[in-house]
Amino acid sequence: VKYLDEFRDGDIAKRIAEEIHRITTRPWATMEVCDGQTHSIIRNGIDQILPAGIELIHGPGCPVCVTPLDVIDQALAIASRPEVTFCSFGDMLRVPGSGKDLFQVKSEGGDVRVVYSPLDAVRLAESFPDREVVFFGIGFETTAPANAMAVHVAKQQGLRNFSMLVSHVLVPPAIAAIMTSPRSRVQAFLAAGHVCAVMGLHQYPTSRAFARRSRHCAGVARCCRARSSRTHAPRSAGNARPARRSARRWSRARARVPRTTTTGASGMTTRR
Amino acid sequence: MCLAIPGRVQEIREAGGMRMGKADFGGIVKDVCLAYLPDIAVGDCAVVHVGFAITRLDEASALETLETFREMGLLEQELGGAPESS
Repeated sequence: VKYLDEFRDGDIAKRIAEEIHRITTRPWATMEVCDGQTHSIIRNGIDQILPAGIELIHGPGCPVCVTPLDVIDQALAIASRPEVTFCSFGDMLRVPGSGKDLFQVKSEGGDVRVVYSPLDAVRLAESFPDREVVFFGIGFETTAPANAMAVHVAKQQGLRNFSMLVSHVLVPPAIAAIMTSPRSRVQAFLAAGHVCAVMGLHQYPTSRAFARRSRHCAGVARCCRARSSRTHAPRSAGNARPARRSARRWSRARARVPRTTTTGASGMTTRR
Repeated sequence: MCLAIPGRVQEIREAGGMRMGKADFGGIVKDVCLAYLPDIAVGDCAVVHVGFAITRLDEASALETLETFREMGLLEQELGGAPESS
């Protein structure tokens, strides 16, 4: 792919960081909406090279974090049934329910399979007509069209053994809730790029919502650039677990600003 | 599943009434569903998420960002002028 190397040039990144240092005259509380952005920031050390006054607050944009506990419990119950082949994105397997996680169901003999695409689950249903194939359809605006297409294809093919456990959530209402909360300290967002790729920008609240709340508003930093998976660290069980505590809060679209705590030398704040 | 990956469309075919294809992700070739990008052609780049091409990789946007870099005096120093494609 063209231009990828240019975007990853460390020397250019350093110069941009210097420029940010030069123009930063006061503290900023900035929220990166997606966990993919958080991973990129931490993995590439961007938090280390930003001025101390620029505070990065991790946002709600992680499908693993925002899937409600009762849906995870439903998934565990369905996956445990002997007639079911339960298909899921790999991220969800270590997310704990009330008692266990999907990995444990698998180790206990449950037919739990990791798929890359919901269409893979449809193919499984086609290949194993005697199994009840259930796909765990979670995520944001980005996975919803893919999951919908899987349902469409299964119906077209007349499959009677394919179904989906669905838990989709929207990004803009969460951002709107943060922007309008009187307790929010967030002054700018690094917005969810792939959500914009699917939905466009019109669904995002305008910076006027900020202005109503704060004299220090800066508007929404829009990030519609594609990222590459090469900068993405895989989610580990270690960070999936505590993050889930915020799941129900976000899923109700009554998002409150995360309580922040300062960590170590990086000066970065985190709610995890 | 969180990330979409940029890939280049290598082949387009119809499968079960749906527009499917193969895309090259830096050497790894995978099946992708192209139903949501009816105009995409072989050789185009797309952002692919959970097996679905969700948007054409917008070269103009990439150029716009590069232009910003250039205005900051970064590209000339690094690349000696116009960005080269790889």
